[in-house]
Amino acid sequence: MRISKYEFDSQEAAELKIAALPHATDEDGNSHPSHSHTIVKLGNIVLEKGEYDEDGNETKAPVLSDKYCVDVLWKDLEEVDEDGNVTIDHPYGWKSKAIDLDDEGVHGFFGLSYQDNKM
Amino acid sequence: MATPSLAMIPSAYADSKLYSVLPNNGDGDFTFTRDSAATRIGSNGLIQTVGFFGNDLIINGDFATDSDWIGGAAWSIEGGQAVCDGTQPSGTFIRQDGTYTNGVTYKATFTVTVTAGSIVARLQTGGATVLGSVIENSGTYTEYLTSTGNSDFRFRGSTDFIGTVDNVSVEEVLGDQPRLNYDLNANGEPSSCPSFLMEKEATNLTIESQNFSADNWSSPNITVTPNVTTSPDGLINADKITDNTNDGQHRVSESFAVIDAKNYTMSVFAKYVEGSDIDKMYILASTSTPTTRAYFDIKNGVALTGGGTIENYGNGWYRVSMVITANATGNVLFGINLTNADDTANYEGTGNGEMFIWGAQSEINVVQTTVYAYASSYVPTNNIVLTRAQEGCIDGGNANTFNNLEGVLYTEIAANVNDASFRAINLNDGTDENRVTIRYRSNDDVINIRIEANDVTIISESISVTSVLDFHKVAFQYTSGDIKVFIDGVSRYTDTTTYTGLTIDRVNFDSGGNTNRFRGKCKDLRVYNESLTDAQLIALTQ
Repeated sequence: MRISKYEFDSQEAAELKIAALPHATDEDGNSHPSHSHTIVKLGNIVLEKGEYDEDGNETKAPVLSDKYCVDVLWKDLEEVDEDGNVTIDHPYGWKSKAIDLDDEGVHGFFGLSYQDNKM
Repeated sequence: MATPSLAMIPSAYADSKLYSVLPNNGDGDFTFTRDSAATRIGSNGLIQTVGFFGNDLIINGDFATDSDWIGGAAWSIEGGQAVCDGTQPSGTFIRQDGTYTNGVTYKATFTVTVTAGSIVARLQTGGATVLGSVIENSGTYTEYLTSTGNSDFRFRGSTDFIGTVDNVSVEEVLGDQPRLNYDLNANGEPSSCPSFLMEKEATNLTIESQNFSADNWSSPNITVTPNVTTSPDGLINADKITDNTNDGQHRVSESFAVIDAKNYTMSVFAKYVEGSDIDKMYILASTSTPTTRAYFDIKNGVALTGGGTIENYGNGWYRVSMVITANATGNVLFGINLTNADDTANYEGTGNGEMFIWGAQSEINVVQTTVYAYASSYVPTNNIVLTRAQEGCIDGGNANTFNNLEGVLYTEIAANVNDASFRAINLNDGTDENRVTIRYRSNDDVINIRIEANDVTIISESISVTSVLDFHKVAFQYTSGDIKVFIDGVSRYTDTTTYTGLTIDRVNFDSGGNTNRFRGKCKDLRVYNESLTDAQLIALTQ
């Protein structure tokens, strides 16, 4: 498996890429992912925390990133060429949105290290 | 009773495997995937982590004391690290004895500085030496070493090595381990037999789930005392919250990000403190959602005003939960409040109002466009939001295991939630064109059975049950011209439709083709390669 972190300009742009991954349609007409990747839509992550009064009312709104963030635990991306060489790469259209952090970031996958498993 | 051709009673597993009882040659074993750790309830009723890595086997890995390590020539422990000064006459080691099981892979992480020469991590003694890579540059490294039955982990510096080692950790790679979960009854007691638990992926949006004195939590009118009692995971890591004498809200609170119109479940474990002036609490949500409160009597284990859910985890612990719907994209305040009365947000404290708390979780509940309420298995977090990955379990049996012409698919299952999705157990050929299916579907409290042969739907019938959240024993005889369904000892469906062309060579916890994965609990799964009498089907499902 491999872990990658992505930043999209908008939620719509992220949803388009996610929808382009393999899906199947059930007899009720609903579309389901038929891939084995775990996709986590973090959205516009909090850069500065909000503040709240004693009654729980917001007194200062949080500052959110203007990027729409998605973390993915990719499964079975390995490709083997006729010489037996194994390559692993982002699915089509994802690479340009990938970011590389030198720490674990704000989100992780339970029991796994991003640094140990990043693409 | 006939002997099943495949029988899986949740009892044994390994990395990426869920073992079947029959056939006993390995053909019936399932391939299991979940590329992350997860938690289950163990046979002792405690919450346990399953996969992906085991406990750290190294003692004093940060070299805080000059102990636990055995150093050869030129090695010393000083300044919180192991130091090799380069005076060794030949290659030199520093080691720690341990037990490393033959064939098991271990993940070693460590930080080295290399002034001269090189250093190698290795498993040694007791079996053939297992070598990591030759390290010639300073940095933090991870090595995966598969033991040959070794009895020590060591670093070996080259003859000219000068440098240091620090922050050493060696963990067993447990991998994709299925969860055999011991469900708790209303008294918080674990069941005697486990069920195989499968869940959808979930993210705990609470950043510090069990450290309520961390900076991410605010605590108006509350004092937090960390790590004072045994939590539901069996460790002394539960916090105590104590009120003050002010009149107002007494709470700890964190916030988490939400998306407009989505549902979220907020949950926390709570335990009454003997002698406390307070025996009630409520979960509070505000901002980006209508202000919502669900009240609970923790002393007596009762959900009060607000429509929350309470589950008994034993030893006085309850998991309480509440569902909200966001009305804007933004942040929701997640409050864990003490109170002295039902439906009362503010009160004047005494300074002796206390409660133990542990394991806060906030998670989005979305399947397609449908929202549902479900506090999924606990995902502990520590200064980072964490996700439990999705699970799959496929490929039990092969073409020799099953009969294309007649047989019975039997299972005992319960759903996690009515979530308006398809969740299937399925005899199939790797596609959705040939299948014999028992599944939950988009209608609430329905078990649906289906036969598809050569991409033609032969039958698809939905049968109502009292609640899919309860365990039901379902036997589905798919024999052409003699189709029957028995549930809990009662004949629920018969059909004399004949068909041909069915090809099945495996049983999956999905619909075939990797869709409609099963989400729920399974205590028993069997496939019979012959038709059974009504008396046998009754006996099987009673």
